[in-house]
Amino acid sequence: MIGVGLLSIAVVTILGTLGRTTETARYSELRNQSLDQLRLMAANFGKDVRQARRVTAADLVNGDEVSLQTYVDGVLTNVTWRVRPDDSGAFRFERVGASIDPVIYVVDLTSSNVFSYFDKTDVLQINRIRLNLATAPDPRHPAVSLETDLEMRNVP
Amino acid sequence: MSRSTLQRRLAGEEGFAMIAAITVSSVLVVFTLAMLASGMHLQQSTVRDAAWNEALSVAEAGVDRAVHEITTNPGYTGTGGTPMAVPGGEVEITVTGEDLGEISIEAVGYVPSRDAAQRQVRRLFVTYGPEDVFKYALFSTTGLFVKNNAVTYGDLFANNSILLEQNSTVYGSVISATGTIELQNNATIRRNDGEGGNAYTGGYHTTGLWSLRMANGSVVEGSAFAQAETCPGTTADNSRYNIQANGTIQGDAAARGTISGSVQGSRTPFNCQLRHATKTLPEYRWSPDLYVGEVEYTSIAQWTSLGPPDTALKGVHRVWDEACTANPSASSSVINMNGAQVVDDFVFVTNCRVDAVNNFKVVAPQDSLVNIIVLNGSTDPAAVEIKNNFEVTNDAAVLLYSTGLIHVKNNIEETGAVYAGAISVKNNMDVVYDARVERTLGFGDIKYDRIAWQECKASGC
Repeated sequence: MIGVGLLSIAVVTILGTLGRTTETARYSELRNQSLDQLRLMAANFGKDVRQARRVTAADLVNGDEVSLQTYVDGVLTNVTWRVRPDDSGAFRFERVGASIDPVIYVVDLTSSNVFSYFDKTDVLQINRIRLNLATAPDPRHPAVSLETDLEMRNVP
Repeated sequence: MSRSTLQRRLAGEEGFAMIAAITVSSVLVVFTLAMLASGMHLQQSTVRDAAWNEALSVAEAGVDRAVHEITTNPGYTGTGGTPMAVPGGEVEITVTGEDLGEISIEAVGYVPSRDAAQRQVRRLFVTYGPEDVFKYALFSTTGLFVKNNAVTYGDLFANNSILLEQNSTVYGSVISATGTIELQNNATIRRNDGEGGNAYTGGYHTTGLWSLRMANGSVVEGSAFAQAETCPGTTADNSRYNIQANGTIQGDAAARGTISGSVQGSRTPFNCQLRHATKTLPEYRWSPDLYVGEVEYTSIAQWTSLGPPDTALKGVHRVWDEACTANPSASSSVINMNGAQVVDDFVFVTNCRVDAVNNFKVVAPQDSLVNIIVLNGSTDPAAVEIKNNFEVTNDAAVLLYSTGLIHVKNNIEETGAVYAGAISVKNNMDVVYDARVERTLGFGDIKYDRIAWQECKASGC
């Protein structure tokens, strides 16, 4: 009887550990996926910003949309990066433009306010952009965030 | 084995703990391995990400190195097939020179090295050229008169007052830093490709006290700003710097003084904005090192006898006659270019006056650049006299520059820009600003100013 009791305690403990391990492994996987996606988004956005000749439009208050005149495959093209909610209300990062295929990054951002401009108040004066992306793959854990400052090489 | 023994063994529980322990251990091992794999992936992707970012720094270091090299050695062409080691990796550099001061640099950054199996590669293509100093279609350090039916595409700037006579049109903005702007009947300032169309004044008429005066039928498609010398200024300024719009301002109007007439947008009188700063004419510095194949002449006579035929002007030529410096306005200090034709890239630098009264033609191909640089301060007679059928037939970019007066008259069509100490334009002159003249060799303080920075695919531009 005592043996069965001890074994039960051991089994419950082991099952609890298994549960936590599973949860941690799952979170670790989601975190890695999210981080990879954020890095990809930041890399692609960074490429557009570095090559941009100018910012043509930006929401300086909400920080959820910026339009650039930038090089795409060597040709000056107007590109817009924005954060928009999808049908479920999740914030998605998007790259759209008249002559380019739209790209939607399927990552649930915690905030739509992702762009800032180092206190510039005139769109034509913008020569640096800060991108601040964050996503919470598991609400029980802290959000995964990525912040990068990008200098527009073609803007004096 | 007897039946009873078998039944006893089947009912026994010996070894249950072992099986449970092995099962749990196996699951734990699987999860541990999964977490290890996840950690390794994170570590690898972080390393790869860091290397990818570093490759950009390596490529940019290559670009900077190329600019440094070409500054000291204009013949520098790059690293060839052997990459150069820089902190963090290796870089391959290719420099190609283009006409009239532009160079292109292609730099490929490798981290950790070109031959490494797990390398990260990023490729940059950057072009450099002279500093951008020519941003206006017409520029005058004094006043500017645009007369009768002239059409200008591009911005106008003058330190003093600007007069747009009847039926003249400017597609762009018009700026008078310290003077007034007057639009006569049906003169218009329109937007150019959706931008500009504004009028900026910085002074006022001494008796009429207006800054911007618009006659019947005149239009400012953008906004009008009567700006002031100082802010907030004096009480007397309340009756100066006025806008008198007998035509129509389609955008907003803001003035240090009063606003009268037709304004379709907002109207803000007694609003103080500081006027534009005055500008000086960009300074030209001759150096044989700037050009390839340049030819120098020490007198007008030498140019006349040894220069290319007037009907086939091309190349780089400098005519520097000391007599022209001593007496810039003398009747002998003039180079006659009547009937001349420019057939290719052409740079002409002189300290003598240039007279191209009749039928000066630029028939050079569309991708040609033509710089006529007259370092002669004469205003009477004009340093550059152009009349009757100055034509640019294939849209080559033409920069017409003079430290003195440029006087043009009758059926002039130009693509490029006109910069002068003073400009007088009469009768049907059309100027279309061409951004190719923005950066012209010999002007500006920076020889290698970055024009465009592009990141290509790793495989090539």
